[in-house]
Amino acid sequence: MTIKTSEQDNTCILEFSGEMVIHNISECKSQLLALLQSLQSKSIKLNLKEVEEFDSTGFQLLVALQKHCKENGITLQLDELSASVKTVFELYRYEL
Amino acid sequence: MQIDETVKVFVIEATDLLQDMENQLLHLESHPDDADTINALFRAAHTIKGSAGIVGVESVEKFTHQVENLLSNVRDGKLKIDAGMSELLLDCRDHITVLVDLASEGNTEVPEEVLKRGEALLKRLSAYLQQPQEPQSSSSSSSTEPLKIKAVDTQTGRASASDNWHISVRFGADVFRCGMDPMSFINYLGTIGVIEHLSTITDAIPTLDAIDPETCYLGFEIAFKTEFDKKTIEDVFEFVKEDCKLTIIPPHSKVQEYIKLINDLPEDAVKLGEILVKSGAITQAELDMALSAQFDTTLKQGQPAMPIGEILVKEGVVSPEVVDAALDKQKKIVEQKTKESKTIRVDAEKLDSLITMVGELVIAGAGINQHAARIGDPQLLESASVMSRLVENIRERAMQVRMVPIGETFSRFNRVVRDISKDTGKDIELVINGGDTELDKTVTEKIGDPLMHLVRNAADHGIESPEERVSAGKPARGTIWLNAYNDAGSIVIEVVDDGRGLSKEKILAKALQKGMITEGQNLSDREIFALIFQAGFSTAEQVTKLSGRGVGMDVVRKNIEALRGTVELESEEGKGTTVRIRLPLTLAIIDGFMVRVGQSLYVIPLEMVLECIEMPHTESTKERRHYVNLRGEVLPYIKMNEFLNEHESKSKYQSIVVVTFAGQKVGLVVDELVGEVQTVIKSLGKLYKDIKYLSGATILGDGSVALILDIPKLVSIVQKQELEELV
Repeated sequence: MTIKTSEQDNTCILEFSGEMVIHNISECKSQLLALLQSLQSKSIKLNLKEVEEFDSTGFQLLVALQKHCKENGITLQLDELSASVKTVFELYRYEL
Repeated sequence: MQIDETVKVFVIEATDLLQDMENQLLHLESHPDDADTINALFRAAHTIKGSAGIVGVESVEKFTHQVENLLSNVRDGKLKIDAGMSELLLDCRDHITVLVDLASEGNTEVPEEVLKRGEALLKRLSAYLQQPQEPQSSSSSSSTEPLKIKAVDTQTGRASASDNWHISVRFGADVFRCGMDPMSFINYLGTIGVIEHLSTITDAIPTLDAIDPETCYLGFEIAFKTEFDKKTIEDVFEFVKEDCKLTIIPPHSKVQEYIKLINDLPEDAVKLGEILVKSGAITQAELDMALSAQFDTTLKQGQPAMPIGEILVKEGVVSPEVVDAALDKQKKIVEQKTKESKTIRVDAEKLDSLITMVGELVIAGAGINQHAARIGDPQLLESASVMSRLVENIRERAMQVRMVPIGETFSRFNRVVRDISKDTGKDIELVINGGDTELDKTVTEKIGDPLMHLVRNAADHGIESPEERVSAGKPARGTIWLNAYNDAGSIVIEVVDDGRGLSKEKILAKALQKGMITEGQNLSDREIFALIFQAGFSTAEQVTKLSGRGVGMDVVRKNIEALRGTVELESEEGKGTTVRIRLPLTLAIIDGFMVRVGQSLYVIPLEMVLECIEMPHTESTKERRHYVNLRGEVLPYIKMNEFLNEHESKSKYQSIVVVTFAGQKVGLVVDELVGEVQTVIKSLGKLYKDIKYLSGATILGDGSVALILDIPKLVSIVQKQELEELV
């Protein structure tokens, strides 16, 4: 998975693309963590439109991210979701 | 009519439980405050009701439900068991038994008179339920106990209004690593029903720096509508069942079930409660009530809030299974009377075929041993010896599996004695000794009826009325003892009473009258009493509905003999009577002592063998005097060569095998002592059934056949022969 960062009005925009599934999920975590270490802004927007494959491990990781943000006073927003991400969130009736 | 398999299982289990209930009720008659027994009784009724509901035996379910209500009141301390209630409960238990029997025959129609009886019982039950309830005893409102949740209707237990199943699942940590994903399970659920409501529980997911991304932390609370049964729902989770925490609550379950679930789950109770309310499983009011009790405690005692479960447990509101499960864990090993031990139901046929195979194994093992001995290879001998030991162990265990303690059969008689006592106005106590003596299962089953007859006799004819007893200088209460113990390879069961005993004169007179004996015949006491076991004999002055018709004792004798046992009677007029039954211990495989007589090999049951001595040379020339001096004791002996019509003994030095049974000692003179052997008893077949002194044959390791001697029969035959010779 690749994460593209950009900024807009003090909000850091993270664009995820590729896969967030069991076989690369550890990598995803390291990537995300590294990114957050160097994060300056207190507000993040997630764009998941280009996430082609997404499973429950991806779901868990996003929830973990949400918890992290809450702990550290960072606001988290979800922008766009790909179909595969939508499927999971709808099945789990979960709102991030 | 085809009977559903599940109904068959239900009938078996219900019958067991009903027997337990009878025992418990009888116990409660003398110990009405025994909380453990009351709880066990309630559980039994509850289980019967539940199972009946599941397999669809409505008649049992509906009736037992009312009984359960009453018992629930007793359990909660609102009602106390008195003589009237005890009688009612016993009647109800009997009625349930009738209903279960009807179900086992496949009858869905309940006959008119049974229905009427049921209604009468229900009336009596409701009379108790409408009584003003006793005020709470002071002990339950001591400061260490929290408030009782009075508002929640625990007796009938308000049920959830929801039509939905509630599925609670916490997936195991390795679900992903096993190549699975919770999504597929949720999806699959959707194919067998409708997910009305779903909450994903993410509480366990750690924050980003702590999470192990390959571990599964997910859980779900689901309200699910389906026509399928619980098993089908369970099967959805088949591949993860082992590692995940799965709870399925059927629709319209009691509120307690949900509260219990909330408490069992690791997440915060309030939050879980909210989820359940949202999904419609319980109402906000119900949740509030359960939670408020929790907060009340905190306020009152300034202690940290107790988990809801603990409160409910203390109140006795939670299903008693939970309470008792915890209690049982703390209890030490219980006596056999309680059926808390882990058991498995096994098809008797499977067990029999297993034992037959073990028998073949024993023979094959013996064969190997022989060959190994012949070849003499040390390693082979070693292996063969190890194998023999293992086979021996298997054999022992296999035999033990079929053994059941006779106490189970004995405890049935408590009811009989109690009923007869009540019906006849006598005061009779039943004392059981040796209930844990074990017998083969079939024997236990078949001995029940003869024993019942003997116990009835003792109670009916043996024990006198209290007035009679007192005027005879005896205590007003009569006692019947049921004793069971092991004795030299047999099981002995005694029915002893301290009643009026039997009159030898009366027996003789009656026997004379019936032409069983002739004038002038001189009979020993034993023989006189043995007459009772003849067909058509009865000295009872009156025929009661229970006994006295003269068809009892000889049927008893026949039944016992069919089990290869013996029965005898001892009695003293005015003092009491003892009926003693002797049964062989095991059936298929015996430990034997092999001897050679002439050219043939014979096997004597090892338990009966006391010792072996040399035959004094002087004796063998004497014909008539068949006695030998065994360390100052007179030991009669039998020359087996003669008895068995074997060849004349060629050896100069014969041996005497001293055997014992029923307290008697006899010596068997044989040509050679071969040694201990373990063999399978094979029956000889119809052709040989008249040869009383043989109880079977066996195949030895080398394929040859040895005959197994029936020592008691052998001795009695010889005794008869000698008597005849004397005359």
